Amino acid sequence: MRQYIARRLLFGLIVLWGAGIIIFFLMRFLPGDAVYMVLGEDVSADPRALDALRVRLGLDKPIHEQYLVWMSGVLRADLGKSLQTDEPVVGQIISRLPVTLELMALSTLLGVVIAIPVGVISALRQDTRLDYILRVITISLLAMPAFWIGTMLLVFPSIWFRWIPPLGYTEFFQDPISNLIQVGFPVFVLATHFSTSIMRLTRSSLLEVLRQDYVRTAWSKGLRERVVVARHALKNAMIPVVTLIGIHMGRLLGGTVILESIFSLPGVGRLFLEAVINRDYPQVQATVLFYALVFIIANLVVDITYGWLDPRIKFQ
Amino acid sequence: MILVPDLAESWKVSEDGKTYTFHLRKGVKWQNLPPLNGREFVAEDVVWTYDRIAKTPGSASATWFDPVDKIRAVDRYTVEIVMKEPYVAFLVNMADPYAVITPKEVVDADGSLKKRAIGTGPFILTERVSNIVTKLRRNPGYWEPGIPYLDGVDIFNIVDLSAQVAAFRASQIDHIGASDKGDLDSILRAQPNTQVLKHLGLGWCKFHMRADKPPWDNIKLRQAFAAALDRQAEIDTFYSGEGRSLGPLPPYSRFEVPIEKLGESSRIYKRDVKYAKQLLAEAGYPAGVELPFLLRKQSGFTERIIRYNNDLMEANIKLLIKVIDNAEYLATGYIGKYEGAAAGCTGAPADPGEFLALQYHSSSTVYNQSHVKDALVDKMIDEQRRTLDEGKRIKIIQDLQMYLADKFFYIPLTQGYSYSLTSSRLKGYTPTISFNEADVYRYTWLEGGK
Repeated sequence: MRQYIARRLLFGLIVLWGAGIIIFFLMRFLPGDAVYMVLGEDVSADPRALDALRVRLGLDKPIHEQYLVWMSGVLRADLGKSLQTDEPVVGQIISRLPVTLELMALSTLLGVVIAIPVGVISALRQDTRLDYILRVITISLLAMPAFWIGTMLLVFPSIWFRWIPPLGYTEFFQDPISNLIQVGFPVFVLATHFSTSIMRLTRSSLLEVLRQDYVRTAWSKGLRERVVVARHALKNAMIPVVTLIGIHMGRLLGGTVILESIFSLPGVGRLFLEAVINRDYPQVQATVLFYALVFIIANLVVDITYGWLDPRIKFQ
Repeated sequence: MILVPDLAESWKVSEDGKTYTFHLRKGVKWQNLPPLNGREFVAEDVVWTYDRIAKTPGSASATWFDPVDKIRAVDRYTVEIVMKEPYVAFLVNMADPYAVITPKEVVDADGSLKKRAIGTGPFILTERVSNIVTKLRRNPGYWEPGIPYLDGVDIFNIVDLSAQVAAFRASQIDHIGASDKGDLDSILRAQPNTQVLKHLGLGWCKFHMRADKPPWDNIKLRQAFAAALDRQAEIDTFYSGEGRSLGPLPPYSRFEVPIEKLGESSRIYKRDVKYAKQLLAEAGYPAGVELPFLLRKQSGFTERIIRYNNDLMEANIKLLIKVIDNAEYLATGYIGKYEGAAAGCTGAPADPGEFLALQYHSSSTVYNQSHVKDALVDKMIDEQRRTLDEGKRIKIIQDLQMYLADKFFYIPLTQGYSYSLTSSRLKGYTPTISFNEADVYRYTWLEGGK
C-alpha cells in the first residue's frame, strides 16, 4: 500500500512536470507582451526603459532559457515573483487559499449529501412519479450554466429584497455566520452542479447493482431493505461514483474561477483569472501547478477509497 | 482647467515663464506610520521627489522634467524650479497624480514605493488585495481641520457588471460609476433616490492607422472611411442619444473647436454614404476596398466598432477583422507596433498641448499610434508649448485643429456621458478628472452618521 502511494506520487510529479511545460509554453504563445501589461496603459515614451524592464524580468532571454531558469527555480522551491505585484507567487496563492478550499470542501460535502440520498431514492423508486420529478429537477439544474445561476442569485435578491450577501470575505473563525452567508451562494451553485451528475450516476450504478445475483441472494435471505441497499448494493455501486467525484474536482476548480469573480471573493480562482488577463507568467504557472497538485491528490484519495469500498481491489 | 491649491498654498510663475516658485503649506504632516512617523512635509520632499521622477527613465512622467534646469529648496517651505525653456503645461502636469510627492524614507527602506503607500492625504491605506479591495481609513493628522468627514472608504473591485449593480441596489455600496444608460435606468428603478451626476470625461476613442504607409497614407481613403461612419447612430444606440461626436482634439473646453465649426471639413464628420463612395473612388478604389483591421476585445467598445463595421460595408469598405484581447492590443496597436488599422480609446492628459504632443508629434514614440509625421503639425505643437499668453496659445491650438480637421490621421468617434451614481445618504461628492480615487471622498459625508 505504502509502495503504491509512493509510486503514485512519483507519477504525480511527472504529471506536474508535464502540466508545467504545457502552461509555460502556452502562456508564451499567447499574443501580447507581459512587459506592456506591467506598465499598463501608461506606456513609457522611452524604449530603453522597456528593454531595461524586460531584462529585469528575465523576459529578454530565449524561451527555452527562460524555461530552464524557471525550472531550476521550481526545483529549489522558488516559483518566482508576480510580474504585477512583485510578491512571491506562492505567498499570493497561500493567502487566497482559504476561500477556494472552503468553497471546494463545502460544495463537495453539500453535493454528496444531496446527491447520494436522492440518487438512491430515485433508483429504488425507479419510474415512479417521484423518480421523474427528481430527474427533471436534476437535468434542469445540470442544463443551467453555473455563472448564470450565480448571477441570478445576486440579481433577484437585490431586486426583490434589496439584499445580497455582504461584500468581501470574512474568515470562518473570525465570524462563522458572516462567512457562511458569504460563501453560501457560490457553494450552493457549485454543489447543485456537482450533485446533479453524481446523483444521476448513483441512480444508474445502483440500478445495475440491484440486478446482480448477490443482491437477489441478499433479498432471498430475507434481509431488510435497508440492509440490502445500504450494505450490499450501495457500497458496491459507489465505485464509479467515487471516480466521478475525483474527476469533478477539476470542474469544481473551474467553477470557483467564475464564481469567485461573480461573488467578489478573493480566492485562487480570481487570482488565476487576473493573472491570465495580465499575462503574469509566474503567477499563472504557479497556479496551474497548484491546480494540478489538487487534482493529483484528489485522484489518489479516490484510488485509495476503492480499496476500502471493494476489498477485492488490491494495490500493487 | 482650474488648479486648486493643495500642498502648495500658492505659486508664482516669472514673466519669462522660466522660474516657478511654489510656497508650501506649513504644518502638513506625513501620515503617522513608520518610517515617517508623522514628520513634517517640507520643501526637501518636493525636491527629492521631482529629482527621483526625472532620473527614473521610463517613468510615465519623467519627460515632464526634460525642460527643467534645476530644482532647489529656497527655504523649508519654498521650492524654486528653473526651466531651460518655457514649458506651459508644466504647472498642470505638477498637479497630476503622476507627479505626486512621495516619501524618501520609504524608498530608502524598501527600495521602491511598491510595498507601502504613505502620503499626506486625507485617507490612510490600510489594506489592499490586488484587484479585490482597497481599504482606506481616516487620517487623523490631516492638515485640513475636521477633514475628512468619513471614517473610511472601502473600494471594491467587482468585475461582474450585474454583481456591481446588484450590490448598489442592495445598498452595500454607496457609489458606483455607470457608463451605460441601460444600467442607469435599471438602478434608478430600484433606488429612485439615487443621486446622478452626469459628466463628459476626457477619453478619446478613435480609429487609428499606419498613416505613414500604403494604403492609409492616402488621405482620400481616410476621408472616405470617416464619411462612412454614422456617429449619431452610435450615440443613439449606445448612449441613448446623450453624447457627442469628437473632433481632432478631445473636449478641452476653451481649446476645442467643435466639429460643426471645422469649416469645409465638418461635412466629412457626418455620415454620407454617397460622398464616402465618391471619396473612395477618388482614392483609387472605385470598386471598394478590403482593409486588415485589429479589433480590441473590450467590453462596451468592441460592440461599438462592430456597429461601425456595418456603416463601412455600405460604403464598400470591408474590414478584415482580427479580434485581439487587451494584452495583445497594448503590445501592438496601442503603442503603434502594428500594420493596417485598429481602434481604441486613449485617456487624455489634463493639458491639451500635452495631448497633441503625445498623439500627433513625430517625436512621440509610443502614443503616436498613427505614425503622424507632418512638419507643420510638429512646428505648431512646439510653438504652443512655449506660448505663455493663454489667448495666443488657444489660437495656435485652434488653428492646429483646423489644419488637422481634414487630414484624419486619426478618425475620432464619439463620447457618451459617464454617470456617477451615489446613494441618497452620500453627500458632498464631487467627481474630478483626477485618477486619485480616494481624493474625491475628501469632503464627502454620510447622512445619518455611519
